[in-house]
Amino acid sequence: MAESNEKDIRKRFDEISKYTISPEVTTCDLERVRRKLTEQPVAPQAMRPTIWRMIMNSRMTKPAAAAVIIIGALLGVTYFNVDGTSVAWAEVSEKVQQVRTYMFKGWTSTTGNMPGAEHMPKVETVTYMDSEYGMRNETYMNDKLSFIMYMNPHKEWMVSVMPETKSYMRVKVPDEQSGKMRQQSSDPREIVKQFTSFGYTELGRDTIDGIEVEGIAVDDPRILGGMFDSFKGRLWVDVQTDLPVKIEYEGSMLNGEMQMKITMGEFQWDLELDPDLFEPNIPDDYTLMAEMQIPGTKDKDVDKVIEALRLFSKIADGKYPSSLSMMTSMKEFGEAMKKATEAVDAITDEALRAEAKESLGEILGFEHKHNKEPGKKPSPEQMKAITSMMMTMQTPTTFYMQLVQQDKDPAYYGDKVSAEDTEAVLLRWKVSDTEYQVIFGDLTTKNVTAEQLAELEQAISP
Amino acid sequence: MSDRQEKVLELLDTSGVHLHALLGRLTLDGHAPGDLMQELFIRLSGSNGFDRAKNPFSYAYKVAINLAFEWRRKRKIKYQPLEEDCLPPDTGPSTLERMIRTEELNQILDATSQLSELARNVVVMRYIEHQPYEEIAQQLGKRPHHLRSVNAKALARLQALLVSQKQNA
Repeated sequence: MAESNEKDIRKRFDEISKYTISPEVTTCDLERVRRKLTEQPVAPQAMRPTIWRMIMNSRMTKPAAAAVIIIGALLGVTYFNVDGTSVAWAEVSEKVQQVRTYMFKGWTSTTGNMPGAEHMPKVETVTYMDSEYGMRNETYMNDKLSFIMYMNPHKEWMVSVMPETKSYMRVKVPDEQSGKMRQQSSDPREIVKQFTSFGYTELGRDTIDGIEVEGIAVDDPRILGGMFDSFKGRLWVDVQTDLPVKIEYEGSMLNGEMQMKITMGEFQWDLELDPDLFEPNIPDDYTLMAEMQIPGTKDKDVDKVIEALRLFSKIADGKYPSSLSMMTSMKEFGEAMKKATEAVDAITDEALRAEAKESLGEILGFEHKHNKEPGKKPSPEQMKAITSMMMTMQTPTTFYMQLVQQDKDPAYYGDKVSAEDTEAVLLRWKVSDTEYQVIFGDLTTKNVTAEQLAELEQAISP
Repeated sequence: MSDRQEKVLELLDTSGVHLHALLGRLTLDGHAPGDLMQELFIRLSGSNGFDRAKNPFSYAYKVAINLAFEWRRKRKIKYQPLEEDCLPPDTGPSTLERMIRTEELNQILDATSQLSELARNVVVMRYIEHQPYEEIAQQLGKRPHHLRSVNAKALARLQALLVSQKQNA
């Protein structure tokens, strides 16, 4: 070992001063700190829902489930638009916004510990975009066309058509959001805007499909509306044209139980597209499976949120979703369904059991047949009711996303507050400079001042 | 969001990378900087001293140095003499040299953790962050010639500590 003289000490310090950590680790660590400082923890969940198994194992409901999830992701992109962009890549974002038409292909893979995860299909998409006519997204599962989604910025409905089952779904956008939807009818453009607006790490140059590209990496889970618990994305741009060549992102959901990876590539820019491509042209013999209205923040919309929370609490023995993330609330609803049906099954008296089943069916909106008939496919009526329920349960989620996006200082305490807690704050948001609207545990509502709110929230145990 | 929280988040944005790099150098560990950053910013969030500090970055910087050396002291890693039976499998001279060198770097940092807080800060800012005495003086609220004297004594102390470590091994 070297002699411990002053020269050696200085040399050792000099080596230490050259020690570096990779930019990716730095970015990840800083974001962890930011999350810790600004976000609430979410309680972990562990149970496996029957309704999720029904959805994932059913040929008929899988496309509907995928359509619902994609709608949620698109809404997340819309609700988390940002105005500021950082200097280096701002030109890329601006260039992309100016393109009127384009198309691209997408590939999605989903893995995880969720039941049915092993049966997740291979998903590919072909998407066409036109600033005037909106978006058409064709989704292929295991190489078969499963559904086509249409989003026209001038129309109030987003429509998903499922040719295999001759059915369709609609989602109505509230007036206060319709202008934004018109502005943000383009998915990858919004992703580019978000990627270049949150903190990113430059990846330098590479070659993709013979094209020289430059890339950035992002890992802010707020991108895509906080759909993912953890998130990593990469954007690669043609150095000659400043237009995207590849976008890829991956993330985990449901506290790591599900992982999703999405790649977008084979972009074609400024091409001629037939306006008729963007019209659903739904045949007369197709069935409307479900329709949902995305709640705005007006009173009648708040009623819809309360309705969804009431449905949840009826099935979940007075409890509410622990979090208003889409996947968590859907998963917990499934868990509650499983518990409720097991409780009904456990009733030994035949007459009472029949009555309980009917009662459960009334709450759910369909005659509930469950794992006493394993392997049996859901009937069209059940399928319609399941899809409708899934969309209803998204109402509080999309409502909350709007509140965050509109900077209304929302807070949700579903992990601590139940239907019995008549005076506890379940959900609140700012309605004016001096007032907050509160939904209490018993689903009554009231407007309170900030001071009154502070007192009410003190009573909620940590 | 409170004023303090905003101030803390602003510090994270403007100086987070620098502080993270500093923690990396003082721990020579891939995982520790992330945990120490969390600890640092949680402490700052609850600190009245941070609120009152004229220079929030300097305040955070000193807390970060203290946290890193606290981490080093809690680490139960003792100097192991490289006797034959402790040697790793022969994977080539460069790997062995790297291991020896890393051990030497950790030794000097462990020895630094035993200095007084002022001496420790001066040594870190002077030799690891390469700051001039005038800047160090401004951050620590001392005079440059005083810090030169502190530094000289710190180097002598470090030499003594390293010799002592070698003898105890």
